Amino acid sequence: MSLATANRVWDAVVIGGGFFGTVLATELRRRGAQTLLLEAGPTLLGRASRRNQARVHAGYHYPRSFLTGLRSRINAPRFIAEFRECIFDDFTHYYGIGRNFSKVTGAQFRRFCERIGASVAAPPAAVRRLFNPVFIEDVVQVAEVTFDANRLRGRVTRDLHHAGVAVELDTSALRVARSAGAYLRVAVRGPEAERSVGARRVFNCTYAAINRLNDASGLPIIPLKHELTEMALVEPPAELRGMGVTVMCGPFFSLLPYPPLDLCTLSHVRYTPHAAWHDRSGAPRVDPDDRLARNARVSAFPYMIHDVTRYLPALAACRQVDSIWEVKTVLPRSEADDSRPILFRRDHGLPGYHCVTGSKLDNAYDMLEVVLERPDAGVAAS
Amino acid sequence: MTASDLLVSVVAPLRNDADIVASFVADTVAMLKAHYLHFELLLVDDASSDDTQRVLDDLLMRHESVRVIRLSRSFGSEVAIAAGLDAAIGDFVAVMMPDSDPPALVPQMVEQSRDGAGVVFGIRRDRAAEPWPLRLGAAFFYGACNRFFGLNIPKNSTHFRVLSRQAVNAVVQIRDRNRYLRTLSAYVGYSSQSVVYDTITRRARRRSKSVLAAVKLALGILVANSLQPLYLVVGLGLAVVAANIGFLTYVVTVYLVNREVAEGWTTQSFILGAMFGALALQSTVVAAYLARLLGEQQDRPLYFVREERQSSVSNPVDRMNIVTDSVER
Repeated sequence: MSLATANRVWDAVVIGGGFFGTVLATELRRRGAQTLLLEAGPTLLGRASRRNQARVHAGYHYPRSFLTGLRSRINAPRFIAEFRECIFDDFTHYYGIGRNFSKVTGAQFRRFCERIGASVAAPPAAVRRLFNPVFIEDVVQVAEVTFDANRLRGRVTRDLHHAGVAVELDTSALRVARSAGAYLRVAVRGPEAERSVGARRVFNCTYAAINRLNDASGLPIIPLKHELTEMALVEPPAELRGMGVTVMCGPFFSLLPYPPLDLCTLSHVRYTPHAAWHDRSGAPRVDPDDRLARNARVSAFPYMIHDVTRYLPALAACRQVDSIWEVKTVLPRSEADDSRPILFRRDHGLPGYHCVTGSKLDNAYDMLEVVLERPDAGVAAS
Repeated sequence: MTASDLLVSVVAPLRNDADIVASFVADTVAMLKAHYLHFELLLVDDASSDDTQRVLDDLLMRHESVRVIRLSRSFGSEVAIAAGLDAAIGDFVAVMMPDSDPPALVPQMVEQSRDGAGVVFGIRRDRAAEPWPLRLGAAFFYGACNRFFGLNIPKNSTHFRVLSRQAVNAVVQIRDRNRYLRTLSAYVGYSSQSVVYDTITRRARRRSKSVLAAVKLALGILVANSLQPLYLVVGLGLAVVAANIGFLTYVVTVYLVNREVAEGWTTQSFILGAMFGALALQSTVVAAYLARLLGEQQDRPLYFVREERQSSVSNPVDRMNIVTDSVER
């Protein structure tokens, strides 16, 4: 492929084969653009799109960000309908509301759910009894599912193939620059050698690494916050099989099925982040992959399990199998209100070069609409 | 539970402790690191008005496994400790006063607790450094508690203690607003052991409690933990009522037998004085208990949390390359 594509000019080059990159490339191709998708790793959807909680956010998670909650109500059903075969819903999901340190009360949470139109039901008494009433104020049963990352990878791979997107794995974009004509040149390093490809439009969908390309190309740094995160992979005890549990809204935890490995992920607001750093102009840049590789990977599972058994004593019997380590990226502005907007920077430092990132898979619909349908959107105000 | 699974929490309330918190955190984290693989130090800031928060910002960047809980206003050190116990995740939780309790003693107390004691509490060896009215008052208080009020408070016991998870789980269920860790940890039962120790001081001049504050504390502990004062007053009231009935009988008898009753002003005054005195005393005590009752019945949260933060270093390898936010917050 690389020989054949050496000297042509693509209509669009999408950098990053995560969920946003693959759906964007597919959609661009479906609309007629000759599209090349570059993925630095050996597989599509191998990084943050896979190494996360697999939650298909149905809005419940955002009682402090009404808009994020509301958009989830609109986008989640669409995602579930479109990716039906990738959805894992063979479990019942309960949300517990923490008593002492929660930022919402049970009554507020129920009212929020009502306002965004998310259903809540009373849990069976046997489930309620699993929670320690000293630390849990309220328990509700919700309708929220997870996705199977393996199936999702298969699905987006097929979609790319059917649409006719050219995909190059193990190929990273090194730099992007304006070329002599009205197009851009992307310097890429593939399995064989370095070369450059021409493109009319370039989309940077590399999530945590978004500023790596910006920095190498002399383009402005987008202020981002990164966290080095650990989710424990656990085998839940018998009483909790077939259950997902999320405790809100503060320094709490969730236990959710992780279908690719037939295990559960245990993540904890306090112990999942191991380190945090910021991308900002002028400051020395931390490379996310480098940071991930240098991490000593001392699991915080002992801390997680000590805390969670106070809320859900049955969890004392859960067994850690492994941990998933990944770099998670959020917008600094989301820290206070816990919102999860999409970041879209059109013509970021270069006409035709666009940066797109988000934190929730179902946000892809909003992303596609904004990127492809609204030519005025994403132009930086400053 | 093997030593490697053991998680030890230290809870310390802070109130305008900017001058000593750095040395307290350094000593305590060093002690914890030397003895335990997993630990946390929980600092509960009872809404300090000095530089404490700024000092904490710096400490969170330098020390691992430190958590800071900042209360929305000052609720008092006892409630601050309660907030710390609610948040602590350890198998054993040590409660320390940052100014006076020696961190070096914690491992020994944890060992005693691992051997089965639900609560291991500290007893200060020597109060010689305190002003004499306080010492005298303390001796009187402990004596009166044991003798008259049926309240067995170990003499000179301090806040310094290690509680097992079982004891912590019991204490956090008690949501009394007027709370005294010393009596609460005895109230929940489980076996207890004491450790006699010398207090340290991180300040050139220790902050000493005023006599008034000590009297308030003593009364608070009594009213919160003992119904004896109420019973004593009830007994007194009954005695006065009985005497009054006897006296009335006497008056009537004298009236019937002796027809020359003219003076009696002294007696009348005496009765009035005694009765009103007893009534006043009674109503005071009843009012005190009623106030307590009302206070406890308002179903309000014990405290409000302003924010919770933790160390931005998780292990030594992560110490490089960390930039904390300065603009976005």
